[in-house]
Amino acid sequence: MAVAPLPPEALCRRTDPARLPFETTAGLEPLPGPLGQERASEAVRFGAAVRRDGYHVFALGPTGVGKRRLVERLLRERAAGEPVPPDWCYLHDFEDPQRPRAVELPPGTGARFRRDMEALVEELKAAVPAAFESEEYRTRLQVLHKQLSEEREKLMAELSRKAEARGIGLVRTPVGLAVAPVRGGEVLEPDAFHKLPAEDRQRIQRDLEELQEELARLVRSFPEQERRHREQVKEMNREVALHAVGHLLDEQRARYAGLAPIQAHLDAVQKDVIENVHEFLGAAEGGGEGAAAQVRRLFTETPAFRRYQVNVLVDRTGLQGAPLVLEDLPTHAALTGRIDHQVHFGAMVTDFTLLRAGALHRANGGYLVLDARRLLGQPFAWEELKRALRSRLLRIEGPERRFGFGGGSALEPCPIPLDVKVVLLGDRLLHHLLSELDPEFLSLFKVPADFDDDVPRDPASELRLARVAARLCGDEKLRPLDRGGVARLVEESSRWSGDGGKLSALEDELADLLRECDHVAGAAGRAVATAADVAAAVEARRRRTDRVRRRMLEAIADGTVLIDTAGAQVGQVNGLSVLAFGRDAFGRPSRITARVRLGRGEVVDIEREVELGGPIHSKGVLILSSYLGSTFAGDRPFSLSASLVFEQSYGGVEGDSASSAELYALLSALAELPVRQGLAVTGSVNQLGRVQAIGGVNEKVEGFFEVCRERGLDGEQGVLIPASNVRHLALREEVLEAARAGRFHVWPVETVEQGIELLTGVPFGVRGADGRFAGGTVAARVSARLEALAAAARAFAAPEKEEGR
Amino acid sequence: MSGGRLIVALDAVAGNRDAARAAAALASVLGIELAGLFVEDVNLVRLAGLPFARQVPVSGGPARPLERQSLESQLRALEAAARQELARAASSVQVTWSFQVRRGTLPDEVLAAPGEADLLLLGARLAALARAGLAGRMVEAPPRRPSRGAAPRPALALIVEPAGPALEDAAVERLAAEMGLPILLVRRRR
Repeated sequence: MAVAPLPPEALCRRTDPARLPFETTAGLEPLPGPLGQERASEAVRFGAAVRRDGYHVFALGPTGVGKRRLVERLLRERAAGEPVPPDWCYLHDFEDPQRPRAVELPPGTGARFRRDMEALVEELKAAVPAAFESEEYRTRLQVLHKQLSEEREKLMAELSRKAEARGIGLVRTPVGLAVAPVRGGEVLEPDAFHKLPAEDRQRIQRDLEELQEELARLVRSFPEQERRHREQVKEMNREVALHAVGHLLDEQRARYAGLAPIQAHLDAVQKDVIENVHEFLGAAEGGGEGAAAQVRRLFTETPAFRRYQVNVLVDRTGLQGAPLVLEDLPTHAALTGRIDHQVHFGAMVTDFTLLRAGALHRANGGYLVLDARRLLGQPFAWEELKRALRSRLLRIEGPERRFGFGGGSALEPCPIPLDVKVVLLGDRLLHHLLSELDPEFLSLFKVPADFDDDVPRDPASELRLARVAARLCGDEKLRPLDRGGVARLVEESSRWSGDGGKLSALEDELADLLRECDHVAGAAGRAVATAADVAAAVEARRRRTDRVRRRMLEAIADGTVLIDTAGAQVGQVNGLSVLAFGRDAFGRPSRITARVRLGRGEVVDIEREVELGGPIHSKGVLILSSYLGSTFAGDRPFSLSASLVFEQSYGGVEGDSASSAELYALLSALAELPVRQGLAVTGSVNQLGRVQAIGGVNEKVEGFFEVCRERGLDGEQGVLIPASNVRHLALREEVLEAARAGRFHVWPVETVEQGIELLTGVPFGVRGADGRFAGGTVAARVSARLEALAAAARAFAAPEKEEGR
Repeated sequence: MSGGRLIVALDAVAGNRDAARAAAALASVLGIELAGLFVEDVNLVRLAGLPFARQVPVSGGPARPLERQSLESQLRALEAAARQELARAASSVQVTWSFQVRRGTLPDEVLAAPGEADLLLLGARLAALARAGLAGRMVEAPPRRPSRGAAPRPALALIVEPAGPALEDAAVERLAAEMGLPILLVRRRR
């Protein structure tokens, strides 16, 4: 018995506005979360709660499903109740300046410590010079200088006296000192010397040699005296400096009592100040030093005032709860920090004050959310993230260390312990590729938060959808929808999901439609959007992307593309396919033809022969070939050669949704029964002749409907769809109207037998006890044709046997 | 103080650049001529004539012979350097300058100088000699902040008071404060 067409109410699952328990969405409590996504929500909560290595989360799902929104909301809720993590600072290490020390401080303490140290330095800048300019210091220094000069003068005086006693005097020369014979306070003239008796001359010479030796010994003692003097001055300077700075540092020690890292640092600062007071005195002079000294300072160690600074890398002042960081540009440096440089006289210089935090620093102790595709698109970022998560250490490194090329800072800041939960957002394909290709991925991201594309449709979920709409309208100050508008929205959401029993979970798409509704309602002067506004917005969107569809319809209408929608033809069936452009898709009919002749049992798929057919399409053709062979030629050779083609198709053909149409064309060609051209067919077929579900059923039906409508509906036209696709139907109102008027039909087909009967008007036939099909049926005619072809094949083969070939 | 000369004593030892600069600056402020006096110590020359003369370098090293010829060369070189320092200092502040060389004993030549000038600047060594050898009154300069890295300065300014009433203490104290030097006031020798 022929299958009956679907009643109009089966073509689209309607929502009755009267069932909705509200007037407008403005009266609804907005749903803070998404529609559904219980699985994903549970996964995110689980991943956030498990504080073990490797339990980071990958939120996977299609774009627009609201991954980021949901993840952010759940993490924010959790973070609010968690403790604020510590501040992290970098301090100069006086023992090892190339390795700045990382110091953990209570939240908010870092900034305060920085300010205090800045103030301390300012005070030191005043206190230290003041101490060294005081009367007491100058007096003490003069005393030391005097002691040195007195000691020297005393020794010189002793030598002078000794020399004088022998008639010898001390004389200053351009480079030193000399001893000379004197008379009356003046050096003896050479002539006068030579006139002296030999004995006197010898005596004088001996005395001179002796005193010269003593003078040389005396001069040799000068450096040691100066060294002792310098030590004394240095020691005095230390005392003075300690007196000047000690109480200032004691103030800071008292302020930060109990914080051992700060206490240790203050001790180191005190020691450094005392050892380097000259830097404070030099600064107080206002730079009386020359360019050489400036350059020397530039290229050697960090100046004092910078050494005592505090680099607050992470400041938690004012933060409540754990941090939640969403990094939109996850470059390598943005994630793990960087070392900045400054240009001084053409050279790039850096120090610990130029270390900068990355997103991982800011999120340390809390949560970091990253877009996976953006992360993978940044050089080295993915590897560095994995490295940090594996080691649980944050290192700020210069490019020469990270990337292995020379030059740069040679600064090696101490690493900071890392305790962060990372959530990556990405699509399913990315998750799959990472799982397959990156051996570390699954060991670090053990928690997939798998987002659904859709949720089951029932009154509860329809109401939740309305509440989501209420939230979106509230957030963006859009016009609310009335019950009719919401009902229409629900139907549209079902259509997006491709299943009348589901609602789409893609919130972005919903938000877009609400914005467009708001625009339409606003243009019409309405304060509340209605079903008509929703329909108009949908239709307007369709028109905006309609160009290709209209061109296709034109081509069919003017006969460029040959499609029949009336009459009947042997071996020719209207197949259906879907063309997708971005977010939009539409269906279009294609003529499928089949030809048969005597052959060796092959069914030729012309698309495959010219490499326009994809593997799934080829599989479909092989399956229908197998059905044909096993149904009609199970116990005899298959003596036909058949060919199938998508007429006027010059692009690729893939998928098996047309395999039932191809089979019908073949059966029609074999049985020489014409197929009604007012019908189109979609559905894949298995080897047992069962018609299986396909995708895009709504677009396909509507595509054929539009072609028929353009030519005028005659009431005989329609589409055969797999019975298992009935639940997916969410056809447009225009199709429903035509169905209600009996001018267009949709038939649910379960088997090939049902389909061929609808297409030809002839029953398929049942095999009798004798194994033969009842006469006049499709199967009988196919069998008869095959037998005739087999006989012909035998006839061609027989003369060869007779001739002994 | 207008007219007159400022003499800066430059010797063959050290510190001539700083003394020349300080003197030039003061001469510029006072608007008077700058004169450099280079004293060649005659005792040194005599010593160099003795056959066994040796000098012990204060910078270290063994004693070396002190020969006349090499001493003369050193003195010429030092004199030229002193002249150059004075010229440079004077031209930097655009004061008129002159330079003379005298050979004699240091105290005598220095102490004779005030007869020709109103103001004489002396380095530490010569200042000590002047204080010891000259009768006059001292006006100390107010204590000055010791500046690290700044150039050494003359230790004493010697002013020859003109005939007539002595310069007022207040004026001399102001001058001492401006120069940052103690001032020894002496009467011109007849």
